[in-house]
Amino acid sequence: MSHEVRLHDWVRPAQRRAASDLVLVWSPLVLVLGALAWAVGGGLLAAGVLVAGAIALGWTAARRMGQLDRGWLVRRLNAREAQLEDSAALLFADADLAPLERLQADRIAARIQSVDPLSLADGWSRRSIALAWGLGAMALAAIIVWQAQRGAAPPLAAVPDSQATAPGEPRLTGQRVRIVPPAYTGLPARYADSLDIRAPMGSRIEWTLGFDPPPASAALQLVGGQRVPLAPGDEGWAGSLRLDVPSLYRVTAEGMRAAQPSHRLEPIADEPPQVRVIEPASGLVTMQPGQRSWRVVFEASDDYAVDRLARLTVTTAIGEGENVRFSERSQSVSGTGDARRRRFSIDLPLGAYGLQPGSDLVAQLTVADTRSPGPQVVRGPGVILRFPAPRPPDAEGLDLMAKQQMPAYFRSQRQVIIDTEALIKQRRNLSADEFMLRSDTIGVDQRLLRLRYGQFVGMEAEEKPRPPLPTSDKEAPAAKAEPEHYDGDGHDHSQDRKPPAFGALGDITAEYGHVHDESEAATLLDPGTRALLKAALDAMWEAELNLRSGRPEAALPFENKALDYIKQIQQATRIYLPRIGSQQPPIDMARRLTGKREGIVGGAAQLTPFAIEDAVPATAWRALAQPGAIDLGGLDAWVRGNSARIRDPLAVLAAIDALRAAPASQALREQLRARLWTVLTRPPAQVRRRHDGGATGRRYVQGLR
Amino acid sequence: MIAPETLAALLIASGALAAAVRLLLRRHSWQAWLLAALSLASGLLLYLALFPPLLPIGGETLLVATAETPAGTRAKPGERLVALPEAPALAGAERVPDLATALRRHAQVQAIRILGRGLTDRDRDSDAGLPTRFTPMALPRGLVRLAPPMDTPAGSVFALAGEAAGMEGGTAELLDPAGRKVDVRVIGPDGAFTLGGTARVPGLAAFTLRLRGQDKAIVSDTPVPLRTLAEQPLRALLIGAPSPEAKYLRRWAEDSGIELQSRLEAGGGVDLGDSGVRIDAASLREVDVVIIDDSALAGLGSGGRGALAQAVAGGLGVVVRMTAPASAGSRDIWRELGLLVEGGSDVAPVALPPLAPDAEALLDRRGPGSADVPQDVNTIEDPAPDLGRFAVRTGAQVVPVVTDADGGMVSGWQQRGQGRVALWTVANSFALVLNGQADRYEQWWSQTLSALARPDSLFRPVVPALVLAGERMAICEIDATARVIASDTVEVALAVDPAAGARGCAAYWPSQPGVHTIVQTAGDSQQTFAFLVLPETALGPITARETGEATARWAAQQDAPAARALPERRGPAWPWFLGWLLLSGALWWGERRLRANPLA
Repeated sequence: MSHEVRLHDWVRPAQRRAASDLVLVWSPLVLVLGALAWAVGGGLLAAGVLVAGAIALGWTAARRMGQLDRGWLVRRLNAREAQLEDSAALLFADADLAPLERLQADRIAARIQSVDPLSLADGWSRRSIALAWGLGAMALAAIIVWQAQRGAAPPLAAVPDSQATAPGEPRLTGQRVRIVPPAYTGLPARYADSLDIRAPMGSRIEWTLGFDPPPASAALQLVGGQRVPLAPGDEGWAGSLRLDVPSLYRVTAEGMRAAQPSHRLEPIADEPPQVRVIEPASGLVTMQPGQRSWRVVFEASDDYAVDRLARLTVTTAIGEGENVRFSERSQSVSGTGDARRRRFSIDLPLGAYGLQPGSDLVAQLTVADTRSPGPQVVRGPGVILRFPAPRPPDAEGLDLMAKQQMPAYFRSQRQVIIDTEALIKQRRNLSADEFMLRSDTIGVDQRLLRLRYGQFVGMEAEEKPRPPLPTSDKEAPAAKAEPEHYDGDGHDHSQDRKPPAFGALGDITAEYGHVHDESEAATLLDPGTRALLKAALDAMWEAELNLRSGRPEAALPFENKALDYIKQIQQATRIYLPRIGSQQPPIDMARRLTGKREGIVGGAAQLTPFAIEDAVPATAWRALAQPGAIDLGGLDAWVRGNSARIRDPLAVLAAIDALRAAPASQALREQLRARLWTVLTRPPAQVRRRHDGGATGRRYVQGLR
Repeated sequence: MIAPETLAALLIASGALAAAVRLLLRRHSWQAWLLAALSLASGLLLYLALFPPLLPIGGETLLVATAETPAGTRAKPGERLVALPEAPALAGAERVPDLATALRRHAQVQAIRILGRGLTDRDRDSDAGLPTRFTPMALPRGLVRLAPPMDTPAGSVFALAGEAAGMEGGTAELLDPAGRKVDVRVIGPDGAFTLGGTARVPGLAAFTLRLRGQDKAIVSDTPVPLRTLAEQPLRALLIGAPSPEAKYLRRWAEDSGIELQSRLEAGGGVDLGDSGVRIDAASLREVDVVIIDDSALAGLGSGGRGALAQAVAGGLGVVVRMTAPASAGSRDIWRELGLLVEGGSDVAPVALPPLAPDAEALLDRRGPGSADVPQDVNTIEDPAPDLGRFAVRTGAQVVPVVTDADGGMVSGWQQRGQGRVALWTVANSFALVLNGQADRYEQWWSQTLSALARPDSLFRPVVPALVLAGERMAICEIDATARVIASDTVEVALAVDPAAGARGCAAYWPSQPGVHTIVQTAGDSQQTFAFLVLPETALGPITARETGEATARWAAQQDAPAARALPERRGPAWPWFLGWLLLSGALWWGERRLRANPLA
């Protein structure tokens, strides 16, 4: 009884063969995909693709191996070895065999020794392997060649409008402009389409220009500025410049006689970063009893990158009335996420600040971008955590003297509108689901905004954030009430009631009922403001409804309406004095309480004229109407000095330059005059005295009685 | 002296009567009766042969072809076709240099019919003396009427009006000299529209009025000249309590070059303004305009108010700024100054029109910003402030200067002597500045003070609003030293027409477009005044409409009986003579028969 034939030994060689065959056939495809990923997306993507490919191959191979099991072995043995007499199944049977079967199994076991397990495996699929590797090698070679070509500079592009030139005069025949943005922007180098260049400020611009016939020397002449000499090279004349100020330039070469057209060099300025508060959702948060820490999340975005490190300034205003002490601490925080949009989340431990009732804690984030040199630093909006002060005792007749102003810390409805408009614009590029999702996200924003405004008309909060002022909502759920009023709907009666104190008899509502609105915030708003707020909330609700059902177009009018209302409200009550450091003028003790009024007016009120210096363009504009020489140099200098204010200074400079080249041209004078109109500021409206009508007019008026 | 007609009639009638009576006396038969009647008739015919009747005899009609005469025009029988220089080529037409030449060459014509657009100024100078028919053609599509902006103070808002024909549903756009759109209106069924923009520094700018059809295609581009004059600084005096209004008024005055003195009483004898401001006849003579609030006016006392009233009669302008509802007492005080208003105790909201049609146009109207006020600090979406005006009722003697979108009066003036007194009815107009509409605030005050301030006699010749090259123009309010420097620096001395009298007018004939300057010497200084001459074809449809209307008026004058002084013409005499001869022959034969046969 020694037919100890182990199934494993018999199947394993065939399984190995099948797996390696599969791997050999398909691995070129994985390699090619990996190479493509490397070419397109870099090393990380390539590694990812390779790993994924390997996993897929491994899994398929395992499946293939799994198919080669006992059944397969028995079938194969019976088919291949006639000497086993179709009884191979007996050898690998699990169950106990009948005596006759066992006899046959023993016979077969002896015979099977002569069979090589490897001979049972399928042969190598040589043709497929050869074909796969052949194609793979070709594809890899193609990718390598493509990459090599991509890295090389393209040939010089033809210059579109070459001027007619005399024979023998150099003519610009080809151009290639490479723009290398500063390293901190993280932008790749690219080639400009034409000689008019618009690139990030600080970029390095590299020109390669071809002339025919080759001139003795060539240069780039900046209009009213420096001259960049070009050096001859293999492909043409090359030169480079750092782009810092907008200017015009023209290509010159020795022997060129005709005036060359000027081209624009326009830098795109780096925008300062922008800071947005993500959490808390409102600018003013009331501290909860027993709160130990406060979580603040800011988001900073920049056109290139936000610095990882930012500074959090925490200002505390502790105390009441006139006795307020300010202190300021700052700490470094580091952000997470994409470089262009970083999130800074900070948990402030409140214990360290020693807050007392009635004090404020203001957190502000200062972020910088990565511009070098000179990163741009921006101080973001502040969020306020308020330790609620105990309610002042009620005083009769003071209702109108203390007007509660609505704080103006709001996230903007305008942002919601901008987001919606952007979404509508991108609609074609988005899948239906993604569109719905983004619409819904804006809807959530709209909802948050609505809830925040809702607090001020005492809208019963549907969820957090809670109104900033205490309500009679209780914290723990109570027993079930009647079906219309369920727990937590705001209609519960206060249970954690304070013990009645002497003199606190006024608070009847809190004692026996519940308020539906905010006693502080809501009732002190004047009716007009309340009506406006309500209208704004209605519009927001409609907008939210449409946004969340994926119809941003329908939501847009409501959003606009809501913005309009909110603006009106803010205009009505925009008075907000920050409780941050104030400086009173010193008190002159010598005069105090003397009752003397002499000299209390510190010099007659003198005003500094607020004048915009545009006399130079104004004079030039007038002079251009008539024939005569113009001070183009002065005008040029003025435009350069004021280019920050002017919308398109290069257009004015181009017009000046064109006129300088052809001073007699009436058309160019007209053109410059038209350009100057965009530069002229509008003075404050002046007064034009009426004409007295001459001698006749005066006599007529005198005759009137 | 008896007219020859009467004498002849008497002689002929007596002869014929004598013959008839003689016949009837000799015979009493029906033949005699017939012959008597025939002799009377013969007498009548004789008279008519001598003096043919003034029958409306159709003479020749002169067809005068002018610009745009249809090509297929032909002269029918009894008509003669002449073509004026501006007419297109017409087959069979005789070219004439002007209408007078045509009339001289064809003295026999009895009527004139004008074809085409109409006669130019050249031919309308004198009467033709013939009945004239003219049917104006339909207006061409495009801009048919244009009222260009008046001379505008620097930085101020201007308006222009126009009318387009056949352009319903199209748009009228105003482009600034740099070609940016500053205003746009949709043209309604009546074709009329108004557009606005803002002026900049003193000088002469050329805006463009662009008409687009319904399909957005450009129909026409018309140049619109805008003249901004440099002014003498205004001398103003601000009296009142320290208030936001005073603050922003002072700010505006400082920035716009007004020499402002102020007296701001803070109470208790404390004056926050310039010290030493007095209100008496002498100091008020040195001031062009006084801005005073109603309570300060009441506190001036009767002496101060009397001095103010005297100064107003002498040319001073006074703006009374309302800060509280008007009472009977305050109205009485205003009446002393010369301002008659009623009501003013209720507050009505001020309806503010939008500053510009869209955000881009607002940016272009405001021009580039400065470091302190960047261009994007105030947007068109910012809500307008809620302003209230005291609703005063005024008669026709009060002229509104600034009105809101609903026509409510923000400020208005009344003349008194040579000066004017105005009422400013908005107490919180400073809120405009606080809400980012400083330009509107300045515009309101600029308009009010411009209407009010003491008049001056700067050099401002009167020239037509739109001047075309190649058309004669009149320049008035000039003296003998005036001359014109044309755009090509050619200088022409102006000859003042003595017939124009005190207005001092001269004719000028610009030959080419561009900026022309009138220069006049006064003492040792030179005064200049620039005007823009537009290219000849710049105002095509407008000229066509004006020509048509003027020709229609001229033609109507020719038809009027008063102008028909031409001696009447008698018809031809030969038909009457022939009739008389035949009748006389028949009479002779009849009488012979009668005599030969006396018994018949």
